[in-house]
Amino acid sequence: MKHFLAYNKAMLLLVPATAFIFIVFVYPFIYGFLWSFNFLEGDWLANYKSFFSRGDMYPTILVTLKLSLPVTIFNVLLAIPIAFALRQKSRYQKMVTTILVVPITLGAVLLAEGMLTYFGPKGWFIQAIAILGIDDPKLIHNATGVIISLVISGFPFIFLLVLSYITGIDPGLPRAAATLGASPWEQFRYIYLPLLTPGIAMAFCLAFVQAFSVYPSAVLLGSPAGPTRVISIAAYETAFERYDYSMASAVAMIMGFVQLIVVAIVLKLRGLFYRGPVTGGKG
Amino acid sequence: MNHDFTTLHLENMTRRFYNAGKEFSALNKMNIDIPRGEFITFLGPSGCGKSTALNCIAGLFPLSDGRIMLDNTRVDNLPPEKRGFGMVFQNYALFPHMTVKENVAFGLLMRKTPKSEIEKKVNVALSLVQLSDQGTKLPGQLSGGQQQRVAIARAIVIEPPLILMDEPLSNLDAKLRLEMRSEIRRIHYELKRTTIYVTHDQDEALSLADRIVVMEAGKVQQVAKPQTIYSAPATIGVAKFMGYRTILKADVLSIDGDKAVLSGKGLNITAKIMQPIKGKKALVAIRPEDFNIGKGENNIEANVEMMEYCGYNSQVTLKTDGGEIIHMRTPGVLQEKQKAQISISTERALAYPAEGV
Repeated sequence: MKHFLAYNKAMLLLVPATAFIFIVFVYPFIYGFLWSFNFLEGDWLANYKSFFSRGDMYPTILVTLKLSLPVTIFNVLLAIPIAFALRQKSRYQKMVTTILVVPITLGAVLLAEGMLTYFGPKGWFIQAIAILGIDDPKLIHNATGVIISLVISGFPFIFLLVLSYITGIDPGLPRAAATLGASPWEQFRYIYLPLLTPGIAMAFCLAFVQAFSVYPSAVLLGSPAGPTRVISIAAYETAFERYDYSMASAVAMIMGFVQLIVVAIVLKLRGLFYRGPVTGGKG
Repeated sequence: MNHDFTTLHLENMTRRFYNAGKEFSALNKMNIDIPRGEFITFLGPSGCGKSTALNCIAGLFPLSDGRIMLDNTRVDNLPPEKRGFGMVFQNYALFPHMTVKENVAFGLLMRKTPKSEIEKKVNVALSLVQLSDQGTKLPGQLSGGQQQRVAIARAIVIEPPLILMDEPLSNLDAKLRLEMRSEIRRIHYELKRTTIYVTHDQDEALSLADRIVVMEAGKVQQVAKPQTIYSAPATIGVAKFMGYRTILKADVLSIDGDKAVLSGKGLNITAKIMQPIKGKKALVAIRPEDFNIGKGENNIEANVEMMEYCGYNSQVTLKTDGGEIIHMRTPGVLQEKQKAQISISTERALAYPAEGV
């Protein structure tokens, strides 16, 4: 009985966090979810039907996926070799990490402003390559601009995650593999990669969700009327330009659902891999 | 690699570190020839350079100086995967995502061995370490002793010319350690492969090795058979490490052949000279079990400070009138807080030059 009470008292410590999650996430989510249906106006699925029939709505899913999936895959593929090369503690590791973390602190808007002038027709990047006889490659006001911005802001995040997973792997394991005849590539292929896969999957999910909800750079650096009309733009317009909160809630729900499907697929694939401890013994 | 080498030569093997601008030798000019089939142990306290030496041989640390030769083939410029030495790590370093069988098969897979042969060799190796029925488990599902045996099977299955073991038993409990010690010895005599075994445990070294290399501060102190290391340590450092717990400081009165007559703090001792004594001061090292109760060649009278009962004998701490502490192990019984008459034979009191005198 005493144990039971002690246990329950300890459970009280969970109350503030649970209440916080409920107030700022669970309640608004349920509220939005319910509001996305038109219970009062007859057809309760009207918003969803409208989304999938309107030419300015349903294509945004594909547009957003076309931006966020390639960017996330590219970021992950780029982060793995760089993190791998920097896995040993050195001054380079510290230096590169610091340089890479800076974009995280900048924020999307500042980054977009910078890119607008730098890659703009009067920007010195375009001026410089013009001297070399290269035409303006049009790096802003289109999908390319959004992709560049998503790489700059998304890469450090994935890199730091992957680096922490790599440094968590017992360095004795690749050494043991080396004494058994594994070349550096084979050490990576048979030891690092399988042990990293679950971590990479998690990093992929987090980065994907971030990229899928892209808004500022799609507006500032893209062409929000057409090729980079992402789903968050559709939601914003519906809510704050047409004041149709019910429809906007439906858009937000669809956005969340698409993210959920991608995350579920990645986590399902992750389940096929080994997910235990990444050290080589009990010592 | 060449499996039929006759001798492994370690020539001037040196490894230096730079720390805050200061040079530091973790391993200093190690010279040893190891014949094929020998079980050799690197023994010493932590930080003595024994693990560094092993890692250098495995190719995990580069040498700062010196060479490693398998007969006439130089190997120290090869990466570890080209040397093909089997290594057993202190924390086992089993691949956690592979089953026991996959772990053992890994080295064969890297050597592009045909599948059917891998299967056969893995089974032989697993039965050698008595784990035939655990092949499909993951390392995390095994006990410490079983993991250790997988690590050994993984290292020997590639039939390496040289097996390197880095304190393989230090993570096991006392009982298992004894069992695995016998196991390692059995496997060594079954396979007759050259083995280099690193440990800080004198008992392990004495019981396993054909030859022991005692190291201290990066330098080799003595290379000899276990019996010699135990009964005739070459330096005072080796003596201390091998359990010569009573160290007496004394003045040299006279030297007669291999015997020195010494005196200090009210004690007069005739001791056997182990290392040329040039100065006027010497150190006498005596093992606890070499003291006898009663009168003998060198008589000592001391007060019994403490008796610790250890089963088949007792650990006794005595203090002479001059203030020297004596550690003794005896099956006999002495009374605490009373004077006792003990003695030590001239053969078992070992004299070394006092450091820095």
